Formats: sequence, C-alpha cells, structure tokens
Amino acid sequence: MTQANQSLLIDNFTLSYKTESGEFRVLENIDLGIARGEVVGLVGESGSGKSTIATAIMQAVQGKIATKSGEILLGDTDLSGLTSDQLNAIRGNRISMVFQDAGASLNPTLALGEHVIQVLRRHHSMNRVEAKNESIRLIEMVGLADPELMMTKYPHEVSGGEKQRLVIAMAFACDPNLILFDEPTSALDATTAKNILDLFRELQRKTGVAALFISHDLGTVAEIAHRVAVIYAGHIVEIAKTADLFHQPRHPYTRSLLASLPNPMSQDNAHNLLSLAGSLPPRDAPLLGCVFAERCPFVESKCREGSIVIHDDEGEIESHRTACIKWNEALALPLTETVAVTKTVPSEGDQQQILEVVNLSVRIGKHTFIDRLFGKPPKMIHAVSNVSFSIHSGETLGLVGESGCGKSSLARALTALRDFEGEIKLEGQSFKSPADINKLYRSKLQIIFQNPDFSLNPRQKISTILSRPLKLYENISGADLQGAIDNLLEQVNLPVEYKNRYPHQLSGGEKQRIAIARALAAKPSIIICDEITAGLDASVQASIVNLLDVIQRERGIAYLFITHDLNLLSHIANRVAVMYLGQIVELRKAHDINTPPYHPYTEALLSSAPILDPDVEVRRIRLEGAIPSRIGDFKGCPFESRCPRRQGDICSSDDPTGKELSTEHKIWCHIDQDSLMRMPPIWKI
Amino acid sequence: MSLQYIGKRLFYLVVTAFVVSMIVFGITQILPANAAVMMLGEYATPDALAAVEERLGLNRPVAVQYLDWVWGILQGDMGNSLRTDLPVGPVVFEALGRSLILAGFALLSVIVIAIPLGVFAALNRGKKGDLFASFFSYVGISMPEFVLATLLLVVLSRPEIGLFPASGYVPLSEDFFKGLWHIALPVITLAIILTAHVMRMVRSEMIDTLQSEFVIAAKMRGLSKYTVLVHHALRNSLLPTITVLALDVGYLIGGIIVVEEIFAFPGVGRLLIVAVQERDLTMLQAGALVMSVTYSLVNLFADMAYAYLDRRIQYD
Amino acid sequence: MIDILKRLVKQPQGLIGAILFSILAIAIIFGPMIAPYDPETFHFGSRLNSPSLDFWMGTDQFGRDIFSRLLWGARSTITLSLLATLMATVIGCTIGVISGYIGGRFDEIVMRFIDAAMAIPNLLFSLMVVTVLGSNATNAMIAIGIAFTPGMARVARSVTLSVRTLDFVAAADARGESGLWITAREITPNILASVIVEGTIRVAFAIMLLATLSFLGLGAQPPAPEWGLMVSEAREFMFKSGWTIFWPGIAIATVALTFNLLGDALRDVLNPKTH
Repeated sequence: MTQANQSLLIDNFTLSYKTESGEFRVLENIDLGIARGEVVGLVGESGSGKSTIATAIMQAVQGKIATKSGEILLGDTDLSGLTSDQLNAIRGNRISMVFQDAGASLNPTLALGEHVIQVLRRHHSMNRVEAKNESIRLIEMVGLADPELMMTKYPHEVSGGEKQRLVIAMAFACDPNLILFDEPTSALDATTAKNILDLFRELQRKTGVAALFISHDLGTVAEIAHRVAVIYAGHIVEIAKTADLFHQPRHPYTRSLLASLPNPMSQDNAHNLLSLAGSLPPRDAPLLGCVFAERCPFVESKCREGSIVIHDDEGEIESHRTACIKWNEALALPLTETVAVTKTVPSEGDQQQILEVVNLSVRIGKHTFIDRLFGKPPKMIHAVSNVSFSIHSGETLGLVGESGCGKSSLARALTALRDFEGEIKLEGQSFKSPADINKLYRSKLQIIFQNPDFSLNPRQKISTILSRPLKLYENISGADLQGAIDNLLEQVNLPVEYKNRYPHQLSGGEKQRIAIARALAAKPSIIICDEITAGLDASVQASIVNLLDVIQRERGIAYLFITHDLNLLSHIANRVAVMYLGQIVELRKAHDINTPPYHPYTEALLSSAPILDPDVEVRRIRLEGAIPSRIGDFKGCPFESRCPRRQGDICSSDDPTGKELSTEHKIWCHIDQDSLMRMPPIWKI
Repeated sequence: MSLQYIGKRLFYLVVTAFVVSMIVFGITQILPANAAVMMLGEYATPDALAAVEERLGLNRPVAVQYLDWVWGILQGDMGNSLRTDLPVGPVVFEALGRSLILAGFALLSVIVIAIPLGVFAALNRGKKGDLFASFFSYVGISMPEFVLATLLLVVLSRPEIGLFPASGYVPLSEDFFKGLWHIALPVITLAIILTAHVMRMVRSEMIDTLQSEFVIAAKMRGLSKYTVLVHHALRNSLLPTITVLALDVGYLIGGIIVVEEIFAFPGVGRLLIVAVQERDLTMLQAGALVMSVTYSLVNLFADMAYAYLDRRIQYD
Repeated sequence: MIDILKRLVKQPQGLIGAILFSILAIAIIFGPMIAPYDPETFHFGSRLNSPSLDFWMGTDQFGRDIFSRLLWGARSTITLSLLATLMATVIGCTIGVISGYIGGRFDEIVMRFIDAAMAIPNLLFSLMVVTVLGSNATNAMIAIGIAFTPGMARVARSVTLSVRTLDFVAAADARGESGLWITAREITPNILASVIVEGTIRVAFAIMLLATLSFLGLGAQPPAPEWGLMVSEAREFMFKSGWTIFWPGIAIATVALTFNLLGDALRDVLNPKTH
C-alpha cells in the first residue's frame, strides 16, 4: 500500500502496553499518511497518544508492549522489520526528531558544534574539517548569529530559543525525508516560539522535507501544517486540510475542541468557552463503537456499535475524512447551550476599589557574606519597577507578559512572599512593607498558583488542605468544619467524597478546583490567579475559566489574572495590563485588545499569538534578541533594546510617560499620540 | 574558574579545619580523668600530679589551652606525646606518608576496576552480568573491613597456604617487590570494599544518565553505541563519580585504621589505635586532626576538579 | 502502608531483604529460647571444634557454642545499632529541617559545623568519643549516634531545601502559617520518604561500625557475645579454626546486607522515579 510519493505511511497501527492493571491500548487503528514535502499536524490533548506515535515511528517505544500490529513505512521501508543497526542508520539520517525540551535533549558537557559534527560524521563519510564547515553552514541556516562562536558554546550558555534552533539544525543536517516534531514550541515564550515556527516554515519551503508536527495547540499547528489530524484517546477522529478543519470541522470532538479554545477574533467571545463533561474512556480493551461516544452531545445508540474508524488512503490526500457516522446531521445542531456573558468595564465611579498598587518595586538579590566582607554593593535584580494599577470589585484585571517580565514576582509581593517597596492599598487600608501585612489582609487577598501538583501538599488529605484557611480565617472548627468543607467542594463542582482523597488521586483540573476552593475558604475580596490554567488541556482550562466566571458573578470577587496567553484574556478579563521587564507598558480594556493603537511590545505579542483561523493575515512583528537582564536601576524604556519602533536615543535616556489615549487606555511610550493612533491593526481578516 | 572561587573554597577549608580542631580538642577534653592522671597512673601522689599539671599547663582555662595548641600547630609544633614526651608531629607525618601509599594503591585499583565494572553492570542491567556484579557489590558494602581482612588472612595467610604475609612492613624504597608482597593483603582488603561502594555509585549514575532525555535524543540521531556510551553517557556520569570518590575517601580512612591495626602496618591509623589504647591524648589529637584535614583537602580538590569540568557551575 | 509492603516484595532486593529481616526478627525475639546452649558456658572438652551435630557452628577457644553466642549476640548488636541510628535520625532531622527552612546566615553557620563534623570520618569520631566516655557497648552506641547525626542532618536539610521551593509551602506562607506549622506539618511529611531510606541504610553502617568498635576493644567487653568481639577474640586462634571467625563475620555481613537491601528497595518504592 505504498507509493513513491509517500514519505510516511502508518497503516492500521495498533499499540498497547502491559501495565500493572492490565492492558492499556494507547493507539488504535491509526491510519496516517504524509506525502513528500507535506507537513501534517497532529493535534490531541493529554492522554490522546500523540507523542507515542512519534516514538512508535522511531521504533523507540519504551515500556512493556503487549500488542503491536500494523505497519509503519518510511518511503518503502518497513520500519518495524529493521534490525537495530539498520534503524540506527536511518535515525538522524532519513528521519529525525525534535523534542519539546531542547535543553534536556542536548548533552550538557558537549559543545553545540560537537553535537552537529557528530551527527554529520555518523551518517556521511566526512572528515572533521568538512564536518565542521558543514556544521557552521547549518548553524547559520537556522538563524543563529555568529556561527563560529556558537559552535564552541555549551547548552547552558545559550537561550531556549537558540537551543531549539540548534536541535533543528541537527534535524536538517543529513537532509532527511521526514522530521518528527513533538511539541517543539510548547516550552518557549510566544515570541520565541513564533520565530521558531517561521524558521521551520522557511526551511521546509527550501528543502521540501515532510514533517509530522505534534502539538496540543491547534493555533500553532494551524500556522505550519498543510493538513491536520485530530487524535482523541488513541483514535484519529478527523483529518483534513488545515483551512477545512478550521472553517468546517466535522467531528463533534473537533468542534468542541475549537469551541473551548479562546479565540479573540471570534464574534462569540461574549459566550463561555465550551468545556466537555466526562473523561477519557477506559483503554483496557478494544472499543465498541465510537471512542467519543461518552462525551458526544449528539450520541445515539448506533454510535456505540460496530467499528467506527476513518481511513486515510493514498490518492485521497485532499479529502476531508472524519470518524463520525452522523457528522452531517450534527453540523446543523449547536454544540451546547452557550451562556451569554458580557464583560464590560465597570466605570470608575460606581465600583469600589478593592486593590490599589502604588509604585510597587521588587528587587531580588543576595547580599552575600563575601560581598559584605569586601564592601561591594549587592547585585539586585529589579524584578518589578514602580508598578501602579488598581482593581475594582467584581472586575478581572488580566496581567500578561512573557517569562522574566516580573508578573510572578509581583504576585508574590502582593502576598507578602517577597519583600517589596511601595504601597499596597487593600480596601482602603495602606500597607507599606511585608511586615505590615496582617491576617485581615491575607484573608481578603488570596492566591492560586500555577501547578496544583506543587501547590497542594501531596501528603495531606483534601479535607486537611481545605480546613486550614477555614480555621485560620473563619475560626471554624469541630462539627461546623465538615459542613464548611462540603460547602466549598460544592462551590467548585466537586463531589463531597473527594475530601477524603489525596491530591494524587485527582486529575489536574480537579486539583486546580481544590486550589480555588482553598482560596474561596477565606472569603476573599480579590484572588490572584498566577498562570492557573497553563499546562491544562483546552477543555479543562475552559471549565476552570467558566467556574471563575460564575464565582465572580455570584460573589463580586475581583481577580488579578496572570497569564502569558493573550488570547485567553479577551474571554476572561475586563481590562488588561501588559508587562515587560518589570514595568507596565500598557493598560487597556480587554474586549478590543486587537484594536490599535498598541504599545510596540503589545503589538509584537499580538502578532505572536497563535491564530486559529488560517485565512487571517497576521502582520508579522519579529523580535530579535532576548530579554536583557535587569540588574541595577534603569533609565528609559524597558523595551528599547528590542523595539521595532524605537524612536532614537530618547528611548534609552528618558522614562516614557503614560499617554491616555482614551478612557481606560494608557500606553507608556515615547511615540507621539498621532503616530500611535495611525498604527495598523495586527489582523486582517 | 575564577580566582575568587578558589579563594572562597580555601577560606572555607580553613574555617572547616578550625572547627575540626575545636571538635577534636573538645572531645578529648570531656574526660573524667585528665592527662596528668593518664600519664602518671591512678596511684600518683597529688603533688606529682600537680607538678605535671603545672608543666603541661592543664590548670589553665580550656579556651586558653585550645588556643595554645592551635598556635603551636600553626608554628609546626603539635605537642609532645604523653607517653614518650617526644614531638608527635614528625611521627604523625611519617606514618601519614605510609598510609598514603596504602590509600594510593587502593584508590588506584578502584579507579581501574570499579568504574568499568559499574559501567558494565549498568549496560547489562537486569542480565546475568549485572546480577553478578550487583551481588558482589552488596556483599562488599555489607562487610566490615575487619571481617574481610581476617577472612582473607584465614584463607590466604594460613601456614599451609602462606600466599601473603600476615603482617610486617618493608618500605617500598628498600625492596620494592617484598614491600608490595607485604602490603598486598591490606590493599586488597581496602580495594575490595571500596570497589564495591564505587561500583554501585557508578552503576546507579550510569543507569540514570542512560535514561535521561539527551541520551535518548542521541540515540534518535542514530549515533553509534560507542558514541552514545562514551561521549554522552559516560562523560556525564563521571562528574558525579568524582564527588563520590572523594566522599568514599572517608570510608577509606576508617578502613585504613582497622586494616593497619589488623596487619600491624605502621601507618597513621595504627598510630591512632595505639594512642587510644595508651591514652596518649596529644598523639590522638594530632592524628585525628591530620586525618581530618587530609580528608577535607581531598574533598576540596574533588570540588575544584568537579567545578573545572562542569561548566554549568556559577562561581560567585 | 500495606501496599508499600506489597510493592516492596515485588522487587528482588525487597523480597530478599524482607525474608532476611524476618529471620533476624525471629533471632532477636526468640534467640535466647532457640539457643541450644548458654552462651557463656565453657565446654572444655570441645574447644575449637568444627561444626558438628552437637555444635552446629562449632565452638570457640573456650568451648562455647558459637551458634548460641550468635543468637544471644543478635539482640544487642541489632538493638544498639537501631537505637544509634534512631537517635541520629531524630536529632539530625530536626537540625536539618530547621536549618533548611530558616536558611540564611543561620543555615550557613550550621552547615559549616556539619561539614566540619563530617570531615572527621565516622570511625575516627566514634573512636574518640568512646575513648572519652569509656569502652562499653552503650557508649559505643552513643558514639555512633553522635557520629551519624551530621550525615542525617545533611540529608534532611537537602530534601528540605528542595521541598521548600514548592508552592504548597508558599501557599502556607501566604496564609500566614507559623514556622512551626510549616516545618512540622507541611515540610516534614514530605521528607520522610528520603529520611527513612537513608536511615535504613545507616542501620547497616551502624552495625558494621559497632562490630568494628567491639573488635578494637572499644565497644562491648568480654564475655559479652557481641559479634565483633567474637572475631577479635578468635584472632589468636584463627589458623587453628577458621569457624570462630567465619560465623560471626558472616552474621555481621548478613545483617548489614539485610538493611542495605531493604534501604535500596524502599528507595525504589517510596520515590517512584525509576521504572
């Protein structure tokens, strides 16, 4: 079943593991073909098996295999029939792989150049000099500056983006037929990730290599793939050309996936994000019927019978295929009842100011003993510099920025976990240092952390975890305590029985709900959400966001919602603050965040945000370099070293003043008002 | 590696040495009977005792005695033996030299045998070779030196077999091969146990490294088994091994004390045992201090070697 | 708890370790009852005998039955080692957790002391302490306990440092929980796994060290049936009868082996990183 123009063909491939609790069928009847020069995206959530496909192709599946059937053909070579030596000749040569964490896939004791030279000499008969020259060429090809110098550097000396570029250089080194990408940009900042995607697109066009691009992020995949396959619980449920998938999704799972993704451009962001009820089906035996049946809003009895799969035969690459027997009828029906939600900015006058932050600064550094001995001043990093903003009751202020912008330090300063200078006014009371912060403050301002695996003590039962704030702030104990705990669990839509469980017995989304319940126990006026949905599946993220929304409307709690995901903000925030290098550079309303004018950094951020609609033209702003370090006091604009709209020396010598462009819209920039107003929008539909 | 880093480490070494000296001195001071009684015996007259105490300065406050001792050391005088009344310094250092030969041979054989053995076991994890090696290492770490030494003596030195001598010392400079023959058993004892420890560590490190992502990534590039093993896995496993070896010198010192006692080898360990048996405090203090400082020096070198080889460490 | 035990015996080390441990437990609890002879009785007619039906492991230079002596000696050897390790663990962990939590200058100073104490090898340290306190089994135990404390402190501190950075500690901090609560209820339960593993392996070392001290005459004194002492007493006669050395030596190694195996198996069970 192969053809000369197929790079890869996965034919009816099934794989299951042997585990302590029986068989686990991780991949089921996978049919996938990649033509020469084609990029196929593979999208799935956690537990879908998408990463296993990559390791299966490379014949490197780890763990005990129970059953394995089907074929994987690279060109016309059956990969599963090869000996280990034959495989090694192919790996890195005809097929190469790019992993998620570039830092972890590089040898820390080997120079970058050596990595590339090794691969070249292994598969091509080159001597050292030839390999070295070729390596330099490759390093240049992936856009790394000063290739000769880069050859001598070690992994820890370069940034994440640069490491990933090197890994890509190695992937292309031997001119492969196929490159497998396993979440290559998930660990990178939006702007860096965008650059990497651009790089790959360029190289792909030049070399015509085929690729399988695996990701949980539809937006990323949309940018880069010709065709997209959607995988759910080990089954491929839909394959189509990218534009077709986004404009006319057919499978109910695809449709709900798209509906749970925040899309700032959709007219529907006045509606809740869709969150799917239920969970993945059991995988210990071959499934009868459709894999999505348990959660599908359109399920009927015929969906649970027989074998429902799709096929991706050669010759029909253009077709749009889906593993749903009634997709046509389902298209006419709405996915779910959507609740209209309007996010408006409460006007200045009528809402009470819960939190006001005035000139807050956070400096991090150690004054070491040795330094003191020699009388040297301490090296302090200015994580947060003179930040001021306010939040009103019932309002959500989104705080967005990339890594290193200081948003986490800000969150920690607000909860007295870090030392700060400046003033925090909470419900009118003023606090000028962490020592001032008292129990009343702590009860009114709560925080939820990013990773519930770490923010919940794994050795404590849920009931213990929830009882602490109840005891500390509400003075509840004894019999009342159990009732209060039950109440909290109900508020976050979790069954009361969970209180006797330990965190590891809950899923990621459930754990995060516990964290929310813990914050609610103190009856706060404002909750800081520090990247609480990062790392969660789209559907789970949607359910958390919806929950927060309900809570806010019922209790009037304000949120400081910190995130790096700009798209999410238009669904969740009333106003947005954009942070760069410890300073707020823009403050505006959220619902029209894509309407110019923008601060140049916001502009760059918007242009790096993944767009779901492949037909939309995005004005591309490319940011060079990396975030500079922030040691010592700075004068001037924090963004000036990378700003594409830099005005001149004034940007480094003078602090930018805040310009009020309209109500609730302030930009800190030297660009004059008129020029700002004339900025073109990022997106053109 | 900056000068500042070296300076900082040396500073810490000095601080550590001082604290060690305080501990060593402190322990020997909590004695029910003082040095004078030990010297003269229990039946000495009060006058004789007082005279000795006066001479040795034992009636001064402890802190003063300590500082006096430290000051003496800094000038090269470690005090006089309570038994022979001769300076202990030269005796201790001469004995140290001999112990270092013992330690040196043991360490050498360990590096040559234990590291390849550990790598071999890691590569053959779960298979016969590994099980064999692991069995050996478990036994090796569970056996105290004195048990192994006496067992070896029973088996190898019994008059019927007489493969190695049970004791005696011949300086290598005098007669190299005879000297080797005499130190063979002590070295073998130490080497076996040390090898067991080091081999386990190397095996464990290698297994971890072999599972790390960059090794898998290297395999996915089709690199040869040799390249993956040597340039990727081994390079990264050896660094922690240096640290482990340095820590194992601590076991080695304990082992040396016992082994020298059993084989009557005239090293600093034996000196210490004799000092304990004869209640020769000054000798005990000097010996303990010298051994501990030597250990600290070894660790310092290991740290610096590690820092030099691992470029990730920030030195500030 | 039960399922930890279940997972323990699934591992080969755990299984062997558990079996050996059960045998040890029987020896400790029932030893004196099982022993065929009184450990101090001389049998002048059967000195330095090889193993026989009468004396399963043979006799020593005074005609005492080695097997009985081993069984009697098991109690003191193992109990004292366990006590020494327990002492070191409790004291060491307290120091380590507090130091790791408080951090800063306090931690630096404590670490300097610990580093210095660890610069003195264990045998040397206990040797000196026993010299000072007097040579008997109890003092040997105390000496070993003191010698092991810095090592346990360091392990406890190291794990505390890594737990301390986790968000649930930050969450407790943000709630305004007291330092006592955080160290006792948040941090300590999470370091127990590492401490237990380290402690178990330490017991093996304690056993070896105790035997060594007794061998050197600095621990148990005659006529106690302490295993190290038995080897030391038998040295004079080792060429006449190797059994007098062999059995106690094997016993020491076996007990140490048991705890080493258990420690390793516990490490794999309690820290599920290795598959």
